[in-house]
Amino acid sequence: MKESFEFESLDKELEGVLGRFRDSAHAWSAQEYAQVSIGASGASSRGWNAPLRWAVGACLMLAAVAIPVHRERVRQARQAQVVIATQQDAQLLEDVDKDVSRQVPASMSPLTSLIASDDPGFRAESEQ
Amino acid sequence: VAAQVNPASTRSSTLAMEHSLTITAMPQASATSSVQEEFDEIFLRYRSQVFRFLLSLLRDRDTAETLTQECFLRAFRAWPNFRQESNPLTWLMRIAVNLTRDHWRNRKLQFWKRAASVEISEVSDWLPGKVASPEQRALARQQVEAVWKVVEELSPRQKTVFLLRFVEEMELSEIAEATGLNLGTVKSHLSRGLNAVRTRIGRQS
Repeated sequence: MKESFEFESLDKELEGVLGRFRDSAHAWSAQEYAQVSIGASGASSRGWNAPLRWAVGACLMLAAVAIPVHRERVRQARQAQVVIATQQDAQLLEDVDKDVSRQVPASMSPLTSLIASDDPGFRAESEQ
Repeated sequence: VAAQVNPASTRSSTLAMEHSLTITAMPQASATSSVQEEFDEIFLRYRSQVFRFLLSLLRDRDTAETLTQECFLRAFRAWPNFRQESNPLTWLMRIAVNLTRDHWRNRKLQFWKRAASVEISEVSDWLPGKVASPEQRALARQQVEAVWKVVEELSPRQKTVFLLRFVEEMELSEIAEATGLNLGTVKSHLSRGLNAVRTRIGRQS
């Protein structure tokens, strides 16, 4: 603050605040400047650094969300397939049972009654 | 005739080396070497200051870095025509100010610009080492944050003037030259900025 004009007659408090602001900006800039390499590489590619970082970040986030969702869908599809297969098996067994347990033709009825009367095990089962 | 970089020059900055092939139509190799040496000195002396101004203006390290590169590239191209009538720093700041105007004008990347800016609260964490006690630190942090908030609310032109004055400590006449404004306008912009700081500090205390 070298010039003498109305801003130089800043009150002490304001002067102190602006001084701290300046020192803070200088400290921050010095730290940031230590991390950059001005003049070490082409300027043209640097302008895309921030957008590129955001784009990569967005892709990663998208992948982080999409992969579990995809896995969950695959798992659900497999479960549905298992349920359908189980139902089909059950239906098949039911059909087989129906086929096996259908009533014998009338002409064979005397034969079945004969088996029932001869076989004590069968009789016991039928009585139960 | 394309200019050649003198490999023996120990002070050649990487920037100058990088763009050496872009300098054309220089009459003599020795003249080129001399121009380059002069510019190297300017580059080494002022690059951190130009970077600091751009960083505080944009609060974005990557953009500040890019614009600093661009500033020195433009300056390097125009260096043979620079007549030393003004301070080299003022001349560089003028280029930097013009670059930031172009940057603000380009609305295509507004989202990225906003997203890339460092938060005021984060910037305000940088305090000078001489602030000793925790109470003093807290107060200083609060005050620095208040000033950054005022700066944030200023128009781009007022912000530029304010930062050139209170961060870069430039003379009013130099600010006028760097911004292309007349002295009265510079004073008026500064006055508005200071009043805003005063009001905010008063409100806080």
